[in-house]
Amino acid sequence: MSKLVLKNVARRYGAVEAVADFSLELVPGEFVSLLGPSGCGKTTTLRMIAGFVPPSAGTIDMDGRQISSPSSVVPPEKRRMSMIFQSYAIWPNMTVGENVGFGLQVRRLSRGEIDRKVDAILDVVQMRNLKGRYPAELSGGQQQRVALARAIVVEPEVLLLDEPLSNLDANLREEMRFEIRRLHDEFKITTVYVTHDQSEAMVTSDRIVVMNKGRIEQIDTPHVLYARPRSRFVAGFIGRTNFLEGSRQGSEVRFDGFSAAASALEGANGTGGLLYSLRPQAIGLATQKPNGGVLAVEAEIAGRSYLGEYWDYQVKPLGAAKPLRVSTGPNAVFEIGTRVWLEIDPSAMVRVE
Amino acid sequence: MFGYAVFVAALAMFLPYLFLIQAAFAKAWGRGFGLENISLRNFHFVLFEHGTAAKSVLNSFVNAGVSATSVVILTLGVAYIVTRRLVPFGGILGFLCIAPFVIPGVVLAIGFYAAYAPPPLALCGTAPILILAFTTRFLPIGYVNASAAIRSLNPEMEEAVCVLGGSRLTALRRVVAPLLKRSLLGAWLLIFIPATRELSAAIFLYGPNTKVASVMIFDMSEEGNFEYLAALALILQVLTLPLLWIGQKALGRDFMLRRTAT
Repeated sequence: MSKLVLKNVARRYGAVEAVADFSLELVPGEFVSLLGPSGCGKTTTLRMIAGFVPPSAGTIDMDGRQISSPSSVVPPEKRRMSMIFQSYAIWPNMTVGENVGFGLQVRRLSRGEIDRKVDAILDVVQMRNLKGRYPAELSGGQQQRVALARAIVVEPEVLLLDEPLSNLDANLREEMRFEIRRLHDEFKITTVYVTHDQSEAMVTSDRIVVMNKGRIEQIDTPHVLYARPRSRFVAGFIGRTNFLEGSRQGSEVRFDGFSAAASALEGANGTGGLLYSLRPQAIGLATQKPNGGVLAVEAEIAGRSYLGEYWDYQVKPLGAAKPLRVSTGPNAVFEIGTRVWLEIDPSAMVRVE
Repeated sequence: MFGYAVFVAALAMFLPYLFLIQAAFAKAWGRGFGLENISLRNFHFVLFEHGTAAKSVLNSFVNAGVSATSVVILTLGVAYIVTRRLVPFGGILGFLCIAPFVIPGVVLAIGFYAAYAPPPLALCGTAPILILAFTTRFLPIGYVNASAAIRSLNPEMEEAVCVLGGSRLTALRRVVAPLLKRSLLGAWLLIFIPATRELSAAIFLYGPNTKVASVMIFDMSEEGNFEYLAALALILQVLTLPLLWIGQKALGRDFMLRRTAT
């Protein structure tokens, strides 16, 4: 049975539709991210799951029991969920140990039991030695760990995270991504994670819900989302990409500077505009004309930047108006102005709307 | 610059105080400064011989203490409800808390008299009516302080309590109140000190057993007992000054200007 079911959930604020027709099912132990730019409705959706915001339409069920509908909402304190806030919301008047033990105290556990559980969870997040400290004496990363420990120690039915890493610096953010996934693998708590950072979502999640303007664009695993984006928005939001506009001419599809056989392209026989997404990593660069099943296009290097882990080239097919972006390994060095061959695998070209 | 500052201080502080102190210790204040004119008789009289003067100081402090405490608790609740939008049209509640600020104390007192003096309440001349009036008079100060303090708290702190299973009340008791302790103590002192010398409402509402120090002082001035008046005023001063000192010690030098919880 599904752990959490959102059915056609919507939320309006006056004339503004913050969330529209949102449906999602989570299986027990699943980690799902809500990903999208700011104002896309992801935090509103999370707050509806937590019970802070009533939906204006639709229902939310947990373990088969309805917890939210426009007419009745189970209050947050009765949902047995945990939430991690953007501000951490660590209580500055309590020590680390008191912060973490608070939820257990509210649940009326015995002192001994609380102490034992608090110590155990502080060991897990490597904060045991700081148990007696006050939050003002902790770094941002340590406060984040306290927030995690406080949320997990009560063994919640569902764990909700609202952009928990956005206040941390880049290195710490990367470390904490793995930490969050590690804790999830250890405790298997059903988790909903809100973020605007695609790499955060990709590292942590089993599935990602990409949202835009209050609506779901696509729900898929990180790999499928990247390799097979369904809309222009998803292709552009998850990683970098080249958008290629094509027009059907007989058995071929003509693009800017090259053409491909319609039979090799996905969806080339469909109706509507032919817009394709082609990832910079899916294009190869070679000095010799490649042979085999790939599409070979003669081109010229128009610009480049070196980013340490890879080269970001702008390569212009001969006769094309706009260059394509191509990523190569750091050892593939081409000077600007050099003639090269682009190797394009037509099956890597994904038709988007 | 320095000279100017001394001049202002002299006009505002030193001169009035000098003559107040002189009068308090004088056998007769008209006889001027001089060793032969000094005595403690006035203090002895107001503290031990006068029928109600000592009692009036106690009344003032009890009334002010109870009023300040109830203002702080009331306004904390109202400011919380208004700031967190727990009820529709909460803004009206907030406005009602501020409204007494524009009502003169005398008018307020007459209103209280008219409302509470007739039966069945018949509160005229009792301590509760004074406390009610003081509480109303100082609601605005309490409300402005409490609402500024609450606005400085991130609501996520309370939401974290709710998510973990605590009620709103638990959040108020375990998180909001402890975090606002310092600003609430500051607000309490800001109300308590002026409440000990409130005259305009008290003068209409006191009874034989509930006379407060400010009214006592006013009566003495009517009777022309300036030496006793000065002695009583000085006693009041000496008793409240330590509170100011405690406030500054506990809350920092600028506690009267404090508007945020840190």
